[in-house]
Parts: sequence; structure tokens; C-alpha cells
Amino acid sequence: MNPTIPATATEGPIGTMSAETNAARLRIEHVGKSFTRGGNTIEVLRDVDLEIRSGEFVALVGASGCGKTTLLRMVDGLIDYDRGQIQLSGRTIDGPGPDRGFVFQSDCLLPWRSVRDNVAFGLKVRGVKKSEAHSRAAALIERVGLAGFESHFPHELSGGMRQRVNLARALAIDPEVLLMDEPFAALDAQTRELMQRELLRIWSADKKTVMFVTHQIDEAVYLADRVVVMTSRPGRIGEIVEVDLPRPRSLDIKRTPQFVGYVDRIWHRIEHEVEASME
Amino acid sequence: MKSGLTRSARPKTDPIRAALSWIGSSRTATQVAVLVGLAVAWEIGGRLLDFRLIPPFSEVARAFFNLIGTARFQTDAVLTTLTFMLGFIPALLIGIPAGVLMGRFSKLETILDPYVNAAVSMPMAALVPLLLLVLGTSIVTRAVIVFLFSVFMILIGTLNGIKNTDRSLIEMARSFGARESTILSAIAIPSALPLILGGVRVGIGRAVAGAIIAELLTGALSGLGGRIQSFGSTLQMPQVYAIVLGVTLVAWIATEVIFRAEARLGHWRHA
Repeated sequence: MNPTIPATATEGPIGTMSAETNAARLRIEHVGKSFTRGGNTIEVLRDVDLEIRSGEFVALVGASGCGKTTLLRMVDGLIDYDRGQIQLSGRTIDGPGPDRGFVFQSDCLLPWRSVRDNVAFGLKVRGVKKSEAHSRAAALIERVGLAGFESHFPHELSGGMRQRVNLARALAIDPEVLLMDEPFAALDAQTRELMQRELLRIWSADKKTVMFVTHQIDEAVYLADRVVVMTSRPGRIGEIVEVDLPRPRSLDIKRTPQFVGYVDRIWHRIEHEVEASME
Repeated sequence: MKSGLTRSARPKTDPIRAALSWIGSSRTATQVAVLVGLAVAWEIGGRLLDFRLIPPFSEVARAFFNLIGTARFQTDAVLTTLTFMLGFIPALLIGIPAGVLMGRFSKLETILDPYVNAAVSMPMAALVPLLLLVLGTSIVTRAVIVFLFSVFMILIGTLNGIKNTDRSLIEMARSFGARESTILSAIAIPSALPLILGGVRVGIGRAVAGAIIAELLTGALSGLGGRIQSFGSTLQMPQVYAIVLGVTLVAWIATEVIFRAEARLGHWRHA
């Protein structure tokens, strides 16, 4: 049940889950971005090239200020890019659209609305009928494990539960790509681990394309098929690491030498930058 | 209220202490207790002073109950209420939308903000001669004064509320494809509601004062302000205080209603 009807059909069926794996869903080509602040121009991103396949889970890591969140927001259409091009299934991105669902770092729930109304927010914005929006919201609330909390308000929920609502809201519009901006950064360590496992469980149901920004290397390795390591000043892609770990992944996998090897390798790639950013 | 009474009626509890603790624990009870205390102090002070300009409270109360039964007083009260409505409703209809627009469009705020701030501290009463000249002594003049007294309070409350909207919520709405109208109705206005109602609350007080002052300054012979004027000129002080207190009481009830609405609508802010 896709709530939005595409105006014109582009290549391939829209709204159904594509089984083709090699069709590039998200294509970022030579993207650059500069900000001007107080007369100084700062180059945030330079010549970023990245292709994310349909159904692929890609994580972006890097020191603070490497532009990973900026890139994510550009893909969502919240900020413009100066150079290059971002395409989703052949369509050039020039603003927010229902083909992308964003999961925010601070949950961005409307505190005066119930869980149900928060999850249905994106649908209502798109003019989906209330009854339909609510039944779809109910299904998503169930899927993220919050059944029974439909009428609760955000202040009555824990941080982990609020992030589940945040995720359900993004999934409710049935996007082709899920854009996640450090959604677990504010959670305590145990909750974060459980939420990572939950995310993989929810994702495995329909394998949406995911672009996941995090500063936690072990989170990136645990979740992703590929980890994009970004370097700073200007932000560029330093290395792309294929994570060849079997799925489904349990949390125990984090203790395997293979897992630790990936984490170490990525850490060494950005170590000096993280240190520099702390000075 | 009920729970307090049953508690104080329980055996082995000092009834005075129980009553005092109930008064301290209930907002309404505390307020009523302070009010009764003030009335008693007034009564004693008035009797001790024996000064014509400050009659004891009991005389004021008696004058109040004598007054409210008279047809003349009722006509005056209706007239003043009408003046209030004619000024305050337009103040709401203009103050809130103007505050919303200024809050959402920073250009507009940059241009208008100095004037709004100036208007708040401007002595409105000084404009009365001008208004009398242009509009005459009709109810319209008085309504305009009520409007000017209250509109800026409402506008500033709304403006601050809209400006305080969490920017990340607005960005969230944009990400889901919300247009400006949806951002206003679904994000900015609900989030600003407590401060909008705060402005309305202050605005009510100012509008009531404005209605009475308008009647006093425009030399109206009717309306509660007119009555205050005529009672005052013949030094019938209990009647003057009775009207002033009556008006204050009504205004207080109105602001209390808004206060409760505010608390109820803002339930999501607290655990």
C-alpha cells in the first residue's frame, strides 16, 4: 500500500520491492558543497562519489565535521548541493520527497501528539485519509514493537521507544530509501545495542536501501553491508569497506576477531582526524 | 476540596493544622485564604483609619450587593462589556495573525518589531484627545482604546511563541514534504499555543482596564467607568470601590479560565 501515486512512471515498478540487486538506487556523483560564514568560505564536501545499490545498507563514519550529516541531508533534499548530482532511481533530487524517509538524531517527535499521530504525520502531510493513515500507523507501531503505546505521548516514552516512533514515522510513508542521522547517539550503551539489533530485525523484513550516519565504528560495522569512511577538511570519501559478515547478525558477532578486525581497520583510517578534531 | 474536608474531619488530627495544610496544598484554597486575609486587613484598617476615602471592606461589600441589583448598574455593566468585546475581539483577530506572520517571516519582524515595542510603552491615554477628535464620543472611540490597550500584548505573546518553535521540528516537517501552511498549522501554532494564551491572558487584563479608562477619559456618562466617575465626584467611595473590585473580579475569573485552558492544553509538556 503505497500512499503516494507517482506522477509519471520511471524505469521499473515503483512502490513494489525491487528484487534486482545491481540497479543503483542512489547515485551520488561528484557532489561538492561550500558554506560561507562570516566572509569565510568553508568547503564541506569535495567530489563525493557513491553508489548505493537497491536494498543495500550503507553506513557513513568519520570524525566530526567530515560532512557526513551534510551529505545525508542533501540526499533528503533539506540542503542544496553546489556541484555534481544526486539521483534516486534516475530521478534527480531537488527537494524532500516521499521516496525518502528521514530518521532524525533528536527524535523530532511532536510532543503534543500521540504516538499514533506522530507515526501518521508524514502520511497526513501527504493528504492520506485519516482512517487509512491510522491503520497504516498501527501496523508500523506494531512492527517497531510499540503495540499498546498508540495513545501515549512522547514524554511518557523512554529514549529508545521514542527512536522507535521516529523510525516508524519514516517507514510509514513507505520510502525507497531510509536516511538515518545518528539515531542512537543519545541512547545509553545497552539500549543502543538493543536498538541496533532491532533495526536489523525491522530492516530485514523488506530490505529498504539504507544510508546510516554514525560516529560509532562498531555500530557501522554491525549494521552495514558497506562502511563509507569519510575524511575531513574538505569532506571526502577516504575508503569504502565491504563488511563480509553473514546475516542475520546477532550481537555476539561483535566479539568475533573478524568484526574487531573491521573496526580496527576503520579506526586506523580516521584516528589522526578524530584526534585533530578534539584539539 | 472534598479530600481536604474529609482529612480534617478525621479524628486525632488537629483540625486547624489540617485546614492550614489543605490551604497550603491547594492552589485555589491558598488564593482564597490570602483574599480573605486581605479583606479582613482592609476591614480593620478601614475602621481604625475612619477616613472617608478608605471605607471598611464591609461597606464596600454592602454597596456592591446593593448596586448589582439595580437596573442602572446592569445596563452599565452590559455597556462596558460591549465596549470590551468590540475592542478585544478585533485585538485577538489582528494580534494573533500578525504575531504569527511576524514570527514566521523574519523580514516582517525586522521591519515591524521596533514599532511594536514602541507601541507597548506608548502612553495610550495620550492618544485619547486625538481619537475623540477623529471618532467623536461614540462607543467606537472606546472600543479603539480597548483594542490599542490589548492588541500588542497578544501580538508579542504570539510572536514569541512562534519564534520559539523548535527549528528541528520545522525541518522534520519539511523533510516529510510539508508546505508553509502545514508547518504553521501542525508545528508552529500548536507549539506556540501556551505563549499565545499567555499573551491573551495579559491582553484580557489590559483590555478590561482599557474599557474602564476609556469611559473615564471620554467623559462617558454611562458604562462602569462613567459610574466610577460620577460616584467619585460625589465621594461615594464604597460604590467606587465596589465597581472597581467587581470589574477586577470578573477580569480575574476570565484570566483564570485561560490559565486553566493553558494548563490543560500544555499537558504534553510535563510528565
